[in-house]
Amino acid sequence: MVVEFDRVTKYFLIGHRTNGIKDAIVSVLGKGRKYGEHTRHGVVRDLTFAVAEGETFGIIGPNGAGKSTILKMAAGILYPNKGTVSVKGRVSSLLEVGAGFQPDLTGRENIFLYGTILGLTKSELKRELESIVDFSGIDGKFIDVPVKYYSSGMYMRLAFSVAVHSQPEVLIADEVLSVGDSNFQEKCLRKISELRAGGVTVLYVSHDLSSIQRLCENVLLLKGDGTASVGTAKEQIQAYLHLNSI
Amino acid sequence: MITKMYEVYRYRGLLVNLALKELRLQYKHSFLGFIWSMLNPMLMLVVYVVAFKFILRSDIKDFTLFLLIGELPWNFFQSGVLSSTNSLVNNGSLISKVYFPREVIPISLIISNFLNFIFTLIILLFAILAYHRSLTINVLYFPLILLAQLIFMTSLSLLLSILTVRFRDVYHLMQVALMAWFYVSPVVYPLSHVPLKLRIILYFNPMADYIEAYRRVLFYGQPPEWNLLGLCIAGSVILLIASMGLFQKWSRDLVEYL
Repeated sequence: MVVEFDRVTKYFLIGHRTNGIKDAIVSVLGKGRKYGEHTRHGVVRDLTFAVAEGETFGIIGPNGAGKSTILKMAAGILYPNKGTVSVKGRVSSLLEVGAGFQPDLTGRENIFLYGTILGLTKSELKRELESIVDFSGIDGKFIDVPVKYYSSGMYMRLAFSVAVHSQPEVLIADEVLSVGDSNFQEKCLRKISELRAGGVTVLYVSHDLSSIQRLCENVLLLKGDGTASVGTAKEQIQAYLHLNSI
Repeated sequence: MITKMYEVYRYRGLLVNLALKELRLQYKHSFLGFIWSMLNPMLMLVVYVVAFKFILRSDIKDFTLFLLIGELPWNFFQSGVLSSTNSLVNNGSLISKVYFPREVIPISLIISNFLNFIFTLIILLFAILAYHRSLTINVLYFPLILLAQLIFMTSLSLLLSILTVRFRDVYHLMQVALMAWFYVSPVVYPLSHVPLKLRIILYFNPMADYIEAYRRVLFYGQPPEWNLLGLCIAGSVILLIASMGLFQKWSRDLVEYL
């Protein structure tokens, strides 16, 4: 198994974690909330699932159910409070497309910066440069222009292009297709299928159920109350729609 | 810890790129551009010379060169440490969205400041020539002292950056602390001018020992004092290991504090 979650629990401490001196004084004076007080907000409770190599695994659920939290744990950005998360191989995460882009740097400079953020070396990027630019569909005359002059679609296309060219073994994608025109979305879905055919494991979060249906074999449905279930794409999508209709 | 060091090494492409990004963005919209990294220390030198040579009447021979040898490593130290202190907080949006070893962020700032420093050594070389000083064989110790300073700075950058994430006060404290640190380091005076009792305390300041060592090697043409330098290097390495340990421990839930 490439991705394994074993009885994972994650909660966040809400609000008062960085109590300053003002709060300390206020609490001594007996007004307001107690110093150091915080509430636990459970996001994921006792979650267990596994994803096999080359599988495209979908995660669906309402807002706030913990989809992004699960992806962040898989990417190594967050750590679980209980349980273990193990991910084998080179992870490329598209949690927010274009995080790490510098507006003042040119498209080309950003390819190198973002590519190295994803763990590539300079020589690997030099080799891939042409196909990255090609896939993004960005006009050659714009590639040496600072990306702050890009449209949001161009911005996103370039970032997506770098990520899929980073030779990931595990690709983590969160709502990446929400920007970009239908033409590019189609290109992205084809690229993901292509990567999957090449043995890449994909964790895919989307509210677009048709793309879930198209890409994923198994789907994790988060019900929003901390419970979750794994099943085939078809039955999970139905369960999700049923959940919404109540 | 060894695996962590290997991981940071694997991300060397990012390390270099972040450092270069920093250099590129630093002077992006200024007319003089990168010339500022040379002009800035020279203008500061003028200020120091006016203050300490003409007003306080320092009697050291070739005072300007004497100052420059202390000032350049000090500037490197101060800007490197201060910029990396806030680095994790400043890069919060990146850290919470992509995984990479977090050590890369503060270390990249040390590297960009290091590149800047190397660049300013050109001024130093011209100054040494202008004062008709000849370099002795002892100049070969220069890279060793620089390495020692780098180890010290790296450990401080890891320690302060991870502390700042939990206690934002550290950054404000460091701004003042570095100013005080400047005066307890022999940048504008030689250590020999300090009364003996106080001098013993100053020896515990690694920057004081490094600046003295630079002066011995570049100004007086003597080898560094090995006892002091050796102790400093040993101390810096211990601090580095401790900082790396704390950094690794605290970087696990780093994102939740940002």
